[in-house]
Order: sequence, then C-alpha cells, then structure tokens
Amino acid sequence: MPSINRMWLKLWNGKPPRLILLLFNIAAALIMAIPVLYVFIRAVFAPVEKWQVLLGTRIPILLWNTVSLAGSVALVTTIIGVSLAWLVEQTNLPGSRIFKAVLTLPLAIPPYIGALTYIIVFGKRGVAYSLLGSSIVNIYSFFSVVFILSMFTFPYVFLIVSAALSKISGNYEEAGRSSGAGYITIFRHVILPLVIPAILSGNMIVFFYIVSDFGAVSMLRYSTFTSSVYFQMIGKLDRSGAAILSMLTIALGIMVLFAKSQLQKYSSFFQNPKSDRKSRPLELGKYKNPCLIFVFIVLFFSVIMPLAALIIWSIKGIYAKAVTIEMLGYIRNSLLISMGAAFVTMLVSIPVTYFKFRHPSRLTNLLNGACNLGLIIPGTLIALGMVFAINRYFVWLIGGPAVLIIGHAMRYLPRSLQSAESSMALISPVLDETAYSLGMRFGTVLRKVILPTILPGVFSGGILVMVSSLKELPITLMLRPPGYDTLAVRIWIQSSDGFYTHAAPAGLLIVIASFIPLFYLVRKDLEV
Amino acid sequence: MKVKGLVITACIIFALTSFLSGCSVPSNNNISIIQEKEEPKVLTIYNGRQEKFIIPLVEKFEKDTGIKVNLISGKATEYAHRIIEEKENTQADVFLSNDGGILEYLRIENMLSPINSKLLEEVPGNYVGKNNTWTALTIRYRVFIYNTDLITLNEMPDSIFNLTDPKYKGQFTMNRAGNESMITYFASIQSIIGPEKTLELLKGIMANKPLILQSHTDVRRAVGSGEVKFGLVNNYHYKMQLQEEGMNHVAMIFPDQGEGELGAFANISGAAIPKYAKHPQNALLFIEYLLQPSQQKMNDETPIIRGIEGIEYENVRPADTSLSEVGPLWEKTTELMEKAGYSE
Repeated sequence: MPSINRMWLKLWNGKPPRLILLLFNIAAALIMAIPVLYVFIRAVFAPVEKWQVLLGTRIPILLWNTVSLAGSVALVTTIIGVSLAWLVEQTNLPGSRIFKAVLTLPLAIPPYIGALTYIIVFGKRGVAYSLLGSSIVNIYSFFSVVFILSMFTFPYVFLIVSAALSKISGNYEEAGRSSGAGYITIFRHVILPLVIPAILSGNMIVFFYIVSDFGAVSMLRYSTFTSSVYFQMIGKLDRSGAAILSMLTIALGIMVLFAKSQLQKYSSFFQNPKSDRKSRPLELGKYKNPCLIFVFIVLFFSVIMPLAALIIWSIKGIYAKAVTIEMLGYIRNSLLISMGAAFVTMLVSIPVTYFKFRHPSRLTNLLNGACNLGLIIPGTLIALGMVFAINRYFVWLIGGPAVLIIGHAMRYLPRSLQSAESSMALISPVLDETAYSLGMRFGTVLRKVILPTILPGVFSGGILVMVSSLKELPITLMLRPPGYDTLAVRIWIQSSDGFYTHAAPAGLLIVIASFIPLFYLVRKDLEV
Repeated sequence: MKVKGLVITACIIFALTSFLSGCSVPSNNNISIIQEKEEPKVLTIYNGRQEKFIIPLVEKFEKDTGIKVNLISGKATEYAHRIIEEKENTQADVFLSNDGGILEYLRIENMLSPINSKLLEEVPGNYVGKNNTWTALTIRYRVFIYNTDLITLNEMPDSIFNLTDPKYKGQFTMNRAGNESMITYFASIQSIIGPEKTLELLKGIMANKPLILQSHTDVRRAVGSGEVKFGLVNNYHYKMQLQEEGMNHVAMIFPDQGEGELGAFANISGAAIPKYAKHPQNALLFIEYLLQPSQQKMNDETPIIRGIEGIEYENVRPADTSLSEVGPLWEKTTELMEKAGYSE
C-alpha cells in the first residue's frame, strides 16, 4: 500500500515517530480525554429546555464574570511579574538574589488560604475593623478579588520570565550596544522578543488558574463558570446543568489555547547554549529606592501580611485545641498524593514533550492538545469523569489513593509539560540531527543530548506539580476514598463550617510544606 | 549532578511514604451476595452533615461497640451523586444527610435498602421514607434570625412572603440555591401553594437583592456581625450564633405562625443504608444507636424521638407538608429557582 505509506510519511513530514512513542502519546491523550468525553456526552444529552434556561439566564453573566476576572488577573500579574523579573535579573537592585527567592514564596500560599487571611484582616468585622473602626475596602468587590488573586498568582509569571531572562546570553545585548542602540531599544528589540514565549506561558498558567479556581473565588463571593459548576455538582442533583456549564468552560479554554499557539508561531527561537554569558546589570541610579519600595509593597501584600495573619490565627487555633494527632495522618496523605502526582507527571512529560518537538504534525497537535486539557477542565469535572470511568472499567482502583494520584496528575500534567517544553525549546533540532549524523543511536541521543538538557525543566515541573497538588481541593474533595482526607480537605471542611481558627493550623502546614520544594527550586536557580 | 540526586531523593521519599501509608486497596467482596453471619467490625459513613455534629457520636459508637468507623464528610448531594455513580462498588454503609429531600431523591433512584428496625415506629410517620428507606434523626425549623441592634421585632417580617416587600431591599441574607435544604424548603412551599405562586415568590425575593452566602454559618455570621439586618437560617443556627461573643445581639422568629398562614417549615437530618452497603448489619446497628435517647440528646438540634426527658421541644406550628412528598418536586423546584435567577 504505497499510497497510505506515502500519506503516513507526509503526515509526519518524512519523519515518522517510533511506534512505542506514538502509542504512549495516544494512550496519554486518551486518558486525558475521558473526563471531557464524559462532560460532552452529558451536555449533549441534556434536555433542550435546560440549555435554553441556562443560556437565557446565567451563561452570559458567568461568561463575562469569568473572562473579565481571569483576563484582569492575567494582566495585573503580567505587569507585576515581568517588572519584578526584570528588576531581579537585569538590574543592580540591591539584594536581588534574596528577592528572587522571596518573591516565589506566594506560590506556597494557595489563593484560598490567601483569601482566608484577607477575609480575616479586611472582612466585615475583621482585624482592620476592630483596629480602625472600618474595613477600609470592600473585600468582595471586583477590584479586591482581582488584587487578592493577583497577589498569589504573579509568581508563576515571575518565575518563568526570570528563568527566560537569565538564559538570555549577554552577547545579544552587547551586539546591540556595540551597534549604538540605547537600553530601551535593546529591551524592545532584543530582550522582549526573547522572553515573550515565557510571558505567554506564565500568562496562560495564571489565566487558567483563575478559570479553574473555585476555593478563593467562592470564598470571595464571586462566581465564575468553575465555582458555578462546583456548586451545581455538589448542590444539585441535575448533572446536565453542570455538564453544560463545564462544556462552555472547556470551549473557552480551547479558544485561549488556540490563541496562544497562534501567537507562539511567530515567536519561536533557538539559542546557542555554548555562548551562554551573563549580561551586565543595568544601573538603576536614582530609581533604586522607588523600585525597592515597589518590591516591598508586593511582598507585604503577598507574603508578610497573609503569613502574619495565618500564624496568629494558627496560634489561636492551637490554644483552641485544634491540633490533634489525626493531623499526622492528613500530612501523610497530602505528601503521598502530591509526590505521587509529581512522579507520574514527570515520567509522562518526557516522551510527550519529545514527541511534540521532534515529530510535529496535525496528529501531534491533537494528542498534545489532549494532554493539555487539564488546564481547561475544572477539577470537579475531572473528578466526576473519573468516577464514571472507574466504576465502569477500573473497579479495582476504588478505595485506594491511586485514584487521587491519577486525578491530580491529570489536572497538573500541563504544568509539568510547560516546564519541560521550555527546556526542550532550547535544544535546537540541529543538535540531535548532528548527533544522528555522527552515527549515534536514538537511545544515546536521548541520554546524551535530550535528557541532560530537559531534566532540570522536568524536575522543576515536578516541583510545580507537587506544590499545586498539595493544595488541590476540588478533585480531592470529590474523589478521596474514606480515610484519605488531606490537609487541604481539612481546611475546606473547617472553614466551610466557619471555623477559621481551626482551619489556620492546617493552612500553615500546607504553606510550610510548600516552602520545601520551593526552596529547592530557588536554590537551584541561585547556584547558577 | 545535583538534579539527579534530587530526583533520587524524591523517589526514595515517595517510596517510603507509599510504604508507610500501606497502600492497601481493600478487596472487593461483592461476590459474597449471600449475607455473611458475622460482619467485620468496620463501618464506612458518607456524611453530608457538618462533621463536628457527627464526630462525638461516632467516637462514642466506636467506644461502645468496638466497630471501627471510617468517616468521610462533605455535602449531602455530593455523596448522593457518589452513591449513585459508584453503584455496587460503593463503600458507603451509612449515608447521613442534612436534608430530607436528598434522601427522598435516593429513594426514588432506588438506591436505598429498607431499615428494618422497630425503633422506626417511634419516629413520626412523615419523617420516615416510604418502606422505611430512610429515617429522620433530628428536626430543624426554618426561621428568621435578626440583629437586634439594627432592626426591632415590629419592623421584622413575620412571613416568608414579606420578603418580597421592597422595604426590605438589600437588608437580608440567605444561603445559596445549591444548598440542598434551600431546594427542599422551596419544594415544600411549592407542595402547598403550587408552582406559579412559588415562582412569583422567588422572583419577588430575588428582586430585593438578598445577599447570597455560601453556608448557613456565613448567613448567621453576616447577621450577627451586622452586615445585614436579618437572614434565613435553621433554628439551631440561632443558638450557635448566641454563643459567638461580640456577634450575639440576635433574636429569632418562627415565620408564618398567624391564622391562615403556612406555618414554619421543618426539615430534618437523617440517615439511610445504601442498597449496595457492604456492612448492612453494622449500618443498622449505627442507625438504631443514633435513635436511642442517650444519643438523641447529644444533638444541638431537636431530637426526632418525642418525649425524651430534659429536652425542650419547640412550641411551633409546623407547615402541613410531608418530606416524602417533596422528592418528586425537586427537579421542578430547581428549575423555578433557576428561572427566578436564584441559581448559584
């Protein structure tokens, strides 16, 4: 069958992948697609009337709520994250090495715990009220919600952009300078184009974080598609409404993913890793103090104030006898599940990333898109889709922690993929082609060329997954078997009962536990 | 290679935690259709009530019977879903609910098995599911709680229908529509006044822009802190608010008590045994245990068993509805709520 063979080759642009690699990618994509298929089936079979009621009443409002919130937070975090990354990486800001570490700390504070601390301080009859006689701001207004969520998500942009900035070879800048360009011109024409893929990645993480967040959003009395789906899911018997809302969430997600891939098309670049040279930091001069003040303000609202509130409330909690021996069990469950999820995603991310970069085709895009679905499916949907699939086909999984590990891995795989991809993007295909032409075999190329370069990316991806998974809420709430309560679940149960003092100690523990992987991540950066 | 070292460390730690947790996947003994004489001394409870109400009862049960209880807590509807989705693979032996409507729903879905206990005869008839599929454990009434610093008894509405009065615009709060007890509440109203009037009532309430909160705890706190003047809660939430220092200038009204009015709506917390429970005998034992006077007394709410010594039963005229009629109205009611824009 020469024609099929030719079509096959044409599909792969003359470079068909190894069968095992292809099968692995197909399997991964299929598993990721299960929840979506479930949602799709549910939504399609929903009565027309249901669609009409939802379209007429809530959908327009929810759509605007969701897009405006996620868009605003993405914008604010871009401004904060990029300017901080630039200050830390490219200027002579004093203490920039320490700031680089400290500015990632908000990542350890899940937005729902952050929101809790803001409610404690600025809520009605909160700390601010008892000290000053006024709450100062309306914590439930749109701008407050944007501000609070930005404070706990900007490190995603900051981390990725500063990693990209630090990789920019000083040669480019020097070339610019020697041709007589001023710093602003160099920034616009050399630095900015090189970090735009990083900005987009960070941006997208934040956008989808907000779209899929339900804890913080619902604590702040805001409603988006996801929080709405969640409350439909747990509060109503009619699953078709939730399915319809979720399908639209997914549609929204796909549109944004598509926009991102269109933007990235025009901005792919490769660097020669051999000529990696540090660029000279820019003198801030008289702007040094305003810049320092800016950094301190961000730190105050994203780290100092929330941590202080959390610590004080934890101490109150300890006095109220909220800390019991059961907590050890919750800690163990949290660790087991988050490390398991990190491990699984790291393993999966290597073949998937390699496949994406070395065998581009329409099929590849499709399969890779499926692997990134975790970004755009709310956790609740993954959970329900999984319950469905497990009860049909994987009965033996019921009752053990494996369900949770798989669920978390599905949700956070895109995060580890993005990290692996940004490393993989730095390996020019010319490099492995050269290796092949020198007679190296596939395995050797993988071991000697690919792995050493992408392992740091894969590992930081794993850390991101672990930190995210420690604080994951909706999937854990819905999928946990009896006896597998995690710290995050305990916080949710206590704070939905309104016991903030009882929720605080577990919250503080999550924050502390999240510090440890972050510490590794940051130290690795500092060693460079 | 620093990275390699870290990867290895991570693997080791992971392996250790897996080991410590004893990754035991419980064996599914659904093959044993023939009921075993002796059940292992374990019981899994899917708990849809606030956990703190349940824990003292569970701890006492464990101590008295030696049965190890595996408790998982969340929202009643969520676990009803789960029991339906998990079918014969469910681990749930007992389902505890904060609401009667959801128990009815499970009965209609044919997911419950009868509770064969003499004790159910002591529970008033309209608080037991058809064929003894579920039983109430405690009773609670839907009431108005108000902040006495902000509004007087005279200014307060005395009927749920007064909530549509424009003079109360923005002054009250209630739980979100996703809370099962809100759906049951409006379904009960619907069972008396019919769908058109219910929709009218819902639209009128929503036109007054009530503050919609995430839980009854939030509702009572919003009233206690003076964020709004009054709110719709269960009577025991009022008792709990009284215990919160600095936020306890509150009082309570049973609504619709006048001549020709509907009466106050009662809801229940209840228990059922899922059809596919693995330990039905232990489940029965637990439910019977909860219905005994000494455990009935341990609730913050009013016991369902009448005539227990030392219990102060409310003097209230309840609405003339039966929870077992409410189940079939659920779907319709959520639709009405949705139409009125009360849907979160």
